Amino acid sequence: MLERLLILLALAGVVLAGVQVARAVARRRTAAAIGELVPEDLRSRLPSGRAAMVYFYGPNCATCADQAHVLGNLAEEQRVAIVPVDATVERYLAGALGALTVPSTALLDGSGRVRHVNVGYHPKAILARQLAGL
Amino acid sequence: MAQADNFDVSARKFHQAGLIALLVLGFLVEPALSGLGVALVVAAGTVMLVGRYWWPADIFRQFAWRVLEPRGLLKRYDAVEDHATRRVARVLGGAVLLASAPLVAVGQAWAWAVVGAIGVMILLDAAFNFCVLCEVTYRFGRLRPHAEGSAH
Repeated sequence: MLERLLILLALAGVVLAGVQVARAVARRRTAAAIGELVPEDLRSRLPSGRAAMVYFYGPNCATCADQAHVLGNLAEEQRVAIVPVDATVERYLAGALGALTVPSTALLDGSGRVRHVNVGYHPKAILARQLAGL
Repeated sequence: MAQADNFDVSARKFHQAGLIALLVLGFLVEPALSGLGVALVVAAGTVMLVGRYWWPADIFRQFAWRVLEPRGLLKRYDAVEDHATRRVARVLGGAVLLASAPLVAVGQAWAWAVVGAIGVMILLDAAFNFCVLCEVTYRFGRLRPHAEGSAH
């Protein structure tokens, strides 16, 4: 049993290390996009002078639907426009903003500059805090 | 995008934690009590697969709803979630566990790796809201050629 316990501990260690590595890679990729203006084809879809949340989703994505609902609530409560982008179709935009997976969200300020990129599902409290910090 | 409805997230996470506990316990006791180890894998597979179609078999959610939440031991948290994809994952995962059980019973050690993979997928969804099936679908979707919008 001790041997199996060690195997389980090793597996838990690998999973945790994998999560940390994925987070580090995501941080590095998104850091390059922070402060940059979004590409012109996306800028044309943004409301002028107003914060926007670009929402990258994909087909058959369970957590995307969860994220979409959070964003819907956020848009009802705060002055932010939600700009949905299918990351499997507009791959260039997903790459430009460092959206490594779906769902991902990118918060843009009124001038179209990227202020935050969130890779993976993020709860409303975090997104609301980012919006308040604009 | 898939359609989403309001669901009890606490019960879902309790259900997932229960499945992981069954698989971990099964893996640990299997050398000493081989029948029990296999039985626990079968139990986890049954809860996943049968519980999807027949609610009394969804024992962890039932326990959460009938015992833990009414007594205040588990705080109910409702949120809109897409369960369509999760149900597909649940049926697939349950079927894989049930198929792995006989292999575990006849001493095929690699079958535990398959059981472990299912356990890790459940853990990632429960702890990090990371859906492996979604990620695979997304990666395959990105491999598809698109005529416009991706030619940059």
